[in-house]
Amino acid sequence: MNREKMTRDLDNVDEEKFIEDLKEIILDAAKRCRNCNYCFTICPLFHSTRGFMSQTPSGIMQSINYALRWNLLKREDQEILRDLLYLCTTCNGCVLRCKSKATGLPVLDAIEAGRKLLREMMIGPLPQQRKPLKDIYLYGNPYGEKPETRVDWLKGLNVKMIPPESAEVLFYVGCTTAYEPNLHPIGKSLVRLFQYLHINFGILKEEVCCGEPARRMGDEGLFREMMTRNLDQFKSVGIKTIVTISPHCFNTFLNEYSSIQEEIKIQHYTQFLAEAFKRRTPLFKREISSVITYHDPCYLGKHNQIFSTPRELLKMIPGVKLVEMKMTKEESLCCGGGGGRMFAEVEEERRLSDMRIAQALEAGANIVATACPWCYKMLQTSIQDANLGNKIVVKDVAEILSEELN
Amino acid sequence: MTNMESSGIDRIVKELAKIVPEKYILTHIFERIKSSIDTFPYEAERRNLPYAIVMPKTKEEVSEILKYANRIRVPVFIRGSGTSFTGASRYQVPGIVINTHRMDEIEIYEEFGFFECGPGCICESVAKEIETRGFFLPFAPGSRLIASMGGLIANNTSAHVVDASIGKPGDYVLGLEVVLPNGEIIETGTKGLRRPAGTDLTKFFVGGDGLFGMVTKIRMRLVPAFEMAYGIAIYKDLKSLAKGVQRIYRERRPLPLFMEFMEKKTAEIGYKIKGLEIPKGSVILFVSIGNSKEGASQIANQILSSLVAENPIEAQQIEEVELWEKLWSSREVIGSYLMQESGNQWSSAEVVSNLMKLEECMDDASHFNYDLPVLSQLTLYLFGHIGGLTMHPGVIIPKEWDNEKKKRAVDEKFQREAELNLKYSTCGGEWGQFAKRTPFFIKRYGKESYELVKKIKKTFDPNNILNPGVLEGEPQQ
Repeated sequence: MNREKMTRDLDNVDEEKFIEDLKEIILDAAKRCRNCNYCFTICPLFHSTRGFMSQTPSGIMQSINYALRWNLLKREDQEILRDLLYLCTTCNGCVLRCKSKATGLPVLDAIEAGRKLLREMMIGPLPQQRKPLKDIYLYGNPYGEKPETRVDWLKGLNVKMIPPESAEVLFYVGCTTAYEPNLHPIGKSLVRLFQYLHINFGILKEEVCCGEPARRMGDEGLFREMMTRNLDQFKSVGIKTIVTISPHCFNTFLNEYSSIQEEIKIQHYTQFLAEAFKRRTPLFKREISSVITYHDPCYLGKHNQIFSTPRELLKMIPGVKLVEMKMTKEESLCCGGGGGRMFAEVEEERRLSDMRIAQALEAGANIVATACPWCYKMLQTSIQDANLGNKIVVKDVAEILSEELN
Repeated sequence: MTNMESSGIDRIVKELAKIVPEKYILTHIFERIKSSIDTFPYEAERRNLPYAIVMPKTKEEVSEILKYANRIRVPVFIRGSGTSFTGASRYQVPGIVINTHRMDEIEIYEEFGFFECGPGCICESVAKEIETRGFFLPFAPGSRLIASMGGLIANNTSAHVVDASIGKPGDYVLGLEVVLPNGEIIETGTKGLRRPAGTDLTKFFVGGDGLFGMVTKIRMRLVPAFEMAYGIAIYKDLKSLAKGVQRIYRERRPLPLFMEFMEKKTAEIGYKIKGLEIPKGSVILFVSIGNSKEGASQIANQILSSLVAENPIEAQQIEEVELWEKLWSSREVIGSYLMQESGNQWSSAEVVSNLMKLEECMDDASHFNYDLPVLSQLTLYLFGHIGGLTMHPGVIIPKEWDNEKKKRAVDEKFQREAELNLKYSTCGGEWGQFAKRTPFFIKRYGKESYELVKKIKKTFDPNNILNPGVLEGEPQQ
């Protein structure tokens, strides 16, 4: 099967124009870049790689720019360029920094255009990222898991399956929570919270990947195919609200799917719960003595400016002490899992999630809360690897709320 | 120095890898490009790309790299964050780039009253680190978010602060660890809190434009944080504004830490962005300092009493912090706003007046591009650090212009800057003395002075290994 051709046909996109548009995004942004390098210190790569100048937002952008302008896409340069482009976690910090302090460039658009271009030229993605892309296409998830086992975690939870049933709210679980046993407690916590709030909700019987990893890894054809599959399904079941667990799915539906936002309300679960708790004040069973620090997932915070809602939810719990890490909110340090990096080993002199756990400990926290399955996994791995489980644990905001509800 | 065959570069890498772990050496084209471009709006030139970029961690590694470079006569360029405004970080010949990023350790010795840091430390990080302990970093460059301490010290830049208020960074440097261009390692200065009287080699390296050695450790006095008060004055024209500033000095007022100004048209942009009522004239914003809130406020009032004497439209202290933050950021956002609105790049000069002729100099600065062939095609904006008698007339360079035209624009800027600073017998206080400014140095201080600097350079660096091109300057178009 020629998947390249197939996805391209499915898109019905003028390939030449597609490539020209990508080049234009890169060249225009790079030409306007002043190389002030203000983007360096906000970038997770500056803190986690060796820190060469090409391993920074403007460095990556200038690399693809000069590759095009000086025709540097020869064999020996291809892999180097690819490795630079796929280092980026797509956290959006550089875009915010450039907007507030410098030229206001779409740095991330340029980097992602570069990835798409390399994908078109069969240079990208990274070798380890090919399988998850293939798995999304074949199985509807990047982990190569069987579609029919996707809802196994729901056994005994009495949750509506859409179709044949219908519901007001579609709880979009996402691939990672659905397939990772370690993350099932997050999904189950949300089910419990929705039931506590008497929400008329259901889960798609044949839920498939939103396509976010495909777009981040530069496979625009596959992304569009997953978008079409999801949109068709959403429309056919007549859903009005979608609530996601993952900020990545949330951002994809909200900002990257065409013609969905006018008909369907898209919410991250933290937003949905905050609204629902206004209608029904939650009762908590006890006062807790935990010191919690909240790690901002990039696609909730830096991409969608949702900083206070998750914190407000945590503050509802009696006795909770919320502390901030030294890099927080707009300046939050990425966990390292975004931008396709969940599926590949890339250069890390210092692991981002290790740095984040160190920051959480420095802030005096014994719980690092987050609201993203990937952040959860990354942070948990760091805690386990450093054997810090007796000092700090990672918990999803939904888990904490669910545990403390009366 | 000519370009080298790839076998020659391989040999360099092989030798460098005996000094520094191989993973800290890069020779790929993308790193070579990004490590040799700066804030100038035109693109890199292939013939000048460095051969290799190396990241040493210790002074011993730096020393070995420089010894090796001397043996094979290959230039070495020291790179912090590459944000020079004078072209000092845009190389004119190929060579080895030492990236200082890994030399980023900071140690705070409160019991000794100083801190020590590596040249790769970022200004913002150092400032935050010492601020949490109640100290203040006595300089504030616009590029604080990324500027490296090594670059700051090599330029001895007072940046946005008023020199006459708290001095320059060099006034706080107690001592240095330096690797000389021949690879010898020396220590200068003191671990006490009195800087040496008499000969102090520190002075060659603080503000030495990177000509005489690579600083590998900086020791600076810890300065206790002080309280601040804020003030504003708005004048109907620049003449009255200039007279107001002159009065502050002449009437012996305690000088503010910061004193910024925006010409009316430029101020309107900043005010509009911040949702402030459009000012009726040109604006001065200042920050006075004291040991207490009351002390800082008293000083602000003394400054205001001088400013008021020149009949401003408005002059007062600002006590509401939120309003002050809006006003202050109205000045900070102008450059980025202009770039974002136009989609092009900001480029400005550093015109410095003497106190006597401030009125005239401000008038010159406000006509900076008046008769220049390329720059006169563009709108001029004017703001600056008027407490330090510094003006930044600037333009937005269209991205559509070709490289040659952009180069002419940059050269015109430096030529006019030189003319004005010669006219007022001053010099830049922020951006370094050489590279694009070498012709100015020669005119301002004479060939003898320039030859003297060359001789000093030769003494320190007989093979002209370290940062060549900075002192020589770029051939003018």
